[in-house]
Amino acid sequence: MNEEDRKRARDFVSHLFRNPNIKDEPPLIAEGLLLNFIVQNTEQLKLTFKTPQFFPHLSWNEVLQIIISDLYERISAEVLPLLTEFFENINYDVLNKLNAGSPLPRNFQKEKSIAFLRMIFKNRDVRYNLNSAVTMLNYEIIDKYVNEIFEQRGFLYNEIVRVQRTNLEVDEYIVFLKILMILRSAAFMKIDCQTIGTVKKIGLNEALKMRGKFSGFLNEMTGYIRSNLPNLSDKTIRLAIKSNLQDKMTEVEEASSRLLYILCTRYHNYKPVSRVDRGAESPDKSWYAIARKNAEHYGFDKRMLEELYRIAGDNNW
Amino acid sequence: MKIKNFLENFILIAIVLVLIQTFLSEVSLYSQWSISSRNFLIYCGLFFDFLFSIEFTVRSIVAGKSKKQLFRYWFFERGWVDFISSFPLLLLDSGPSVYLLLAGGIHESGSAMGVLNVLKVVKAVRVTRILRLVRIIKIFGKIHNAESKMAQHHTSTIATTAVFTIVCALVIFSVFTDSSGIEKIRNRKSEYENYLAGISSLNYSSMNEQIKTAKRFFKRDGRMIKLFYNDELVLLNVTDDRFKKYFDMEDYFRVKSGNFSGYISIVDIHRDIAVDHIKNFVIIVSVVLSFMLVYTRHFVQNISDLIHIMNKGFRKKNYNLQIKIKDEYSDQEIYRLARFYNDAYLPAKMKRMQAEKDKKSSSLSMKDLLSFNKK
Repeated sequence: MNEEDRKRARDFVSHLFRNPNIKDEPPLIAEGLLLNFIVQNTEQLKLTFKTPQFFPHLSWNEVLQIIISDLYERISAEVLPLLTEFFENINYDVLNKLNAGSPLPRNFQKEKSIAFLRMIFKNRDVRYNLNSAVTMLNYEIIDKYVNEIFEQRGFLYNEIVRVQRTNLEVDEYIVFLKILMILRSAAFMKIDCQTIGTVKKIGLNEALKMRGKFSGFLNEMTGYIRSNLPNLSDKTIRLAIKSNLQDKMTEVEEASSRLLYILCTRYHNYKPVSRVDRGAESPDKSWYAIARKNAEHYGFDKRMLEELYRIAGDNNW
Repeated sequence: MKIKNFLENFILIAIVLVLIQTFLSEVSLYSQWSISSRNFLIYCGLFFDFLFSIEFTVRSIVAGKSKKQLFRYWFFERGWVDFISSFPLLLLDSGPSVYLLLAGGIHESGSAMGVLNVLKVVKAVRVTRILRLVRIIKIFGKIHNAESKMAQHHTSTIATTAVFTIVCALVIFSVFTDSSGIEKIRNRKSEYENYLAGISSLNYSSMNEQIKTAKRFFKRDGRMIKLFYNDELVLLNVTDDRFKKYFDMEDYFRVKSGNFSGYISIVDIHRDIAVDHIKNFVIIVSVVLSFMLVYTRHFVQNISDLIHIMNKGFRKKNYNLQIKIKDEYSDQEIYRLARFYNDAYLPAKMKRMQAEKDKKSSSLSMKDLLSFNKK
């Protein structure tokens, strides 16, 4: 594997990124699509990459390695700074407030968080699922919705503050939800779950397919994350993991999970609309209206959707 | 393409200018502008009629390459409007006007009198002037005040129908009424012949007394421009300078009875006709403007915008904006369709798209690799 191969791999990946079907996608989604393309076309690609225009002298595994590492470099350079910047600047007192133990120093919490982020970011399922968090950070979605929820003090406020019993101020709640939305994708990491009798490492997707194993997986995953991030309470970690689940799998007091589940679904494939056509509803209002019709199918909390729909409509979002 | 755009814009400017010229030519008659100003407007009229005749001819030749195209131009692209507002006006209105103007210096010479009389009759039949108003329709095809082609088409069709109906009604009225003032002029002529005959028939002790009586009678009569006794000027109600500047041969006629003759003004008759024409002009412009501004907006907001959004929603994978439903129109077919689009189509589309995304199936294909190969 020489420099010439790396350059060719770079050119090849750039070429794929320029494809009209990919170029408008967010980087993390584009990466997911490219990797899936490679998986789906392995046999043909093996033959193609053996041709003189590509990498005739490299084995298939070497080709994969060179392409995937190039992809990772691009994506991490583009996305990781935004996420690390978030953990560098947030107010960690919020987590101290939610953690029953004695407060942990800010620097300790920061280093642990960034180290954990870098670790989970290496996992491609986590990266793919981080897209909604990246989008929401970019467009300050949590800030605007939480501000509005606290302003209106309606159903959503009641659920996330009173029912969930999370007594945080609006700014603290924004930070809290942002941590949850980044942390939730860690559930897609594959971890050892020997206590529930699995031989292979499993992640959220696998656990959901195994009947009666989810609660054990939840405990294992909570423990795994807790061991890396001792500054988080079990409740916080569970809220994050369960924000990947349909509302029927959450408890009444896990409103933040249900809210995040809706918001993350909304912003996973979000593309900003430059100009809303005359006579059309605003993008968020449209999405929540459509989601209301599909609420049962997706497992959205319908009452939350109602309020989000109203907020989006009031603010022309 | 650039030349075509330039020519289309040139025609658009010409249409706007000719509407201004049409309006000003009526105002000039109403306000009795100077002869030179009115003559200028007549020459402008000829220029525009000539220009639009060329436009119609060129468009017909271009479209005439096939029967289908010609049919399309004539009936669907308002070729008939181009025709009505070009050749008939050139031949029956501005052409004769300019000819009379140019031949004005020789019109008393006798040799040209026959032709001139025919042209005068043609010109007097002012039905053709009304056809100028048809040109307002032309502007509809040029100004695209809505992005939607459907909105442009339907609003211009309804505006064309309305304008042409008004013009037809005006033409019918002008045929069956004295819209050109011919009757009024004839009445005035006989009225003044009677006056002069009456004054001439009375017994006078002397010629001076007869002239004095006539002068006293016509002194405060604004219509009597000049009074002659045996071709000798005896009364002048309009100064020579003013007469030369503001009165052309269309503004007066000559009557003669006994020893008296006179120039009688018909400016007031022309003024009444001009007011009628201005009124018609304003009505038609208002109708067109109301269609362009009010009805087009209504059509766009309630029909074409809805269809535009649905069309995008059906065709574009990532387009999922709902249509705003107006409660007051919610029982109308288009809004019922929009409600179905909002409540049934988009949710089903969302499910389908989500299923595709869950599979992370990209639209990439092996062809995309091959295109890299070719580089």
